[in-house]
Amino acid sequence: MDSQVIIEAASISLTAISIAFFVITSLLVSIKLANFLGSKSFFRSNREKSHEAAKAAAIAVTVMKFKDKNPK
Amino acid sequence: MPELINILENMGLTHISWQESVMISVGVLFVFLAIRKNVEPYELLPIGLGIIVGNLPLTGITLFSPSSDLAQDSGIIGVIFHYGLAHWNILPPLIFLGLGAMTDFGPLISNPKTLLLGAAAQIGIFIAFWAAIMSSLIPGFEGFSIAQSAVISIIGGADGPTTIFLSGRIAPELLGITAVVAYSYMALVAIIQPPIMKLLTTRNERLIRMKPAPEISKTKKIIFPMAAMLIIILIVPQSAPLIAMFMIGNIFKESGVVPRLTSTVSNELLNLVTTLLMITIGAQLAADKIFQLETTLILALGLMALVLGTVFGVLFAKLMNIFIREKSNKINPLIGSAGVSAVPMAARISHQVGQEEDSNNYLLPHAMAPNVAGVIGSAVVAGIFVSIIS
Repeated sequence: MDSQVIIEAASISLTAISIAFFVITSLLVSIKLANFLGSKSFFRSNREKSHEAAKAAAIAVTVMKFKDKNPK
Repeated sequence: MPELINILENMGLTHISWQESVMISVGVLFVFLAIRKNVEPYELLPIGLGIIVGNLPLTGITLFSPSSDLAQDSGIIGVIFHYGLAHWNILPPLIFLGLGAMTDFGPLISNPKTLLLGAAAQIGIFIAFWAAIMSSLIPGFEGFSIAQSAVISIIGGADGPTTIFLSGRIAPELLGITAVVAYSYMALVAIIQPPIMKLLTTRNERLIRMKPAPEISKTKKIIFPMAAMLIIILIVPQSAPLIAMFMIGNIFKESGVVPRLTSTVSNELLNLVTTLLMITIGAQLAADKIFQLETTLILALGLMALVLGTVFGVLFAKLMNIFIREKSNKINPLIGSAGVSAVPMAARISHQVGQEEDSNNYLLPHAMAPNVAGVIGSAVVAGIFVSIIS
């Protein structure tokens, strides 16, 4: 078997694995970035903000009703 | 009388070889499995019909003559194969556009460590690459070139479009056979993967229930594909045809503002392209190409890559569990096998095998994360092979 082919294949494998590792790390960073930016008010749409506000209001109302029913 | 002799001489019946008859039988078997057994009908039915049509003698349906003055010298499948795959190679990226519009990155964003399972399943590709290189040690076989070895190994991703894309770019002579092998293994993951998954896991591991993924906001679902597209393409520009189309389709879907485009790319366009692609690659399985040692080796090496991908995915999930201390955060190793990128078949298999042990265990959303990561992973590996080898 030609040793040149082995050397070339080894070089391709090593390069490919290194780049793949770099890409995986970058993807993990982009997930972190999405989580970070997604939590910033500036990047959220008005619909999303009003949805969250409605959800928070619903929770608050439930808590108030629960407290009214179960006074300490 | 001469007319009658002429007609008889031009009949397919008088020209059909035993190899073509065997291939037609294989096509009929695929059709039977698709219709009667409902085994991946969207792949096996058009591939089976393509095999039957492609092996009928004297049809000229798979011919392509670019230099011929007679426009009718080329057959319909020959034209689709040449322009859709061998020359322009546009069909795989169009499939990725549709797949992107059907993909939900939510499970991956909510549980980023599952990305590693998609990466681990790609290890099979590299081992199969070396096995293909070493095939020259077989007596009487001259071996595969480095480009051919790369194409054969990518079959282990069980990702048809990526295999076709890579083959069209660096080893077009293997396009037909590698495409059919990849799609056949995609259709057969339901048979190939479960025994391996059961062999490598204990009953207790298969019973692990994973925490339901939290709801991911729309903003995060838009930012992730955008950031991933930019980063991946800046690192591996040759992966752009697949990655860009995949992410564009996904951003269409997640934006929510272009429902008609999302619907078109994930339904009409995807169905149209899949139909053309499946019939065409089925018709490429001509008898004269199949009955060779080279083809048998491609089948064996592709299977080896897929099996190893499954093995490494499951084992890596088990390895991750060693480092996860909190019991509620443990990963069910069955989702590791979904790291091979047969979407959504591999994820469905993880779910089904899990349900055999506990019918209330819903692994599908969790398995979709490594499955999507596997699609990205094999597309990136293909891009890397293109950039290094070509």
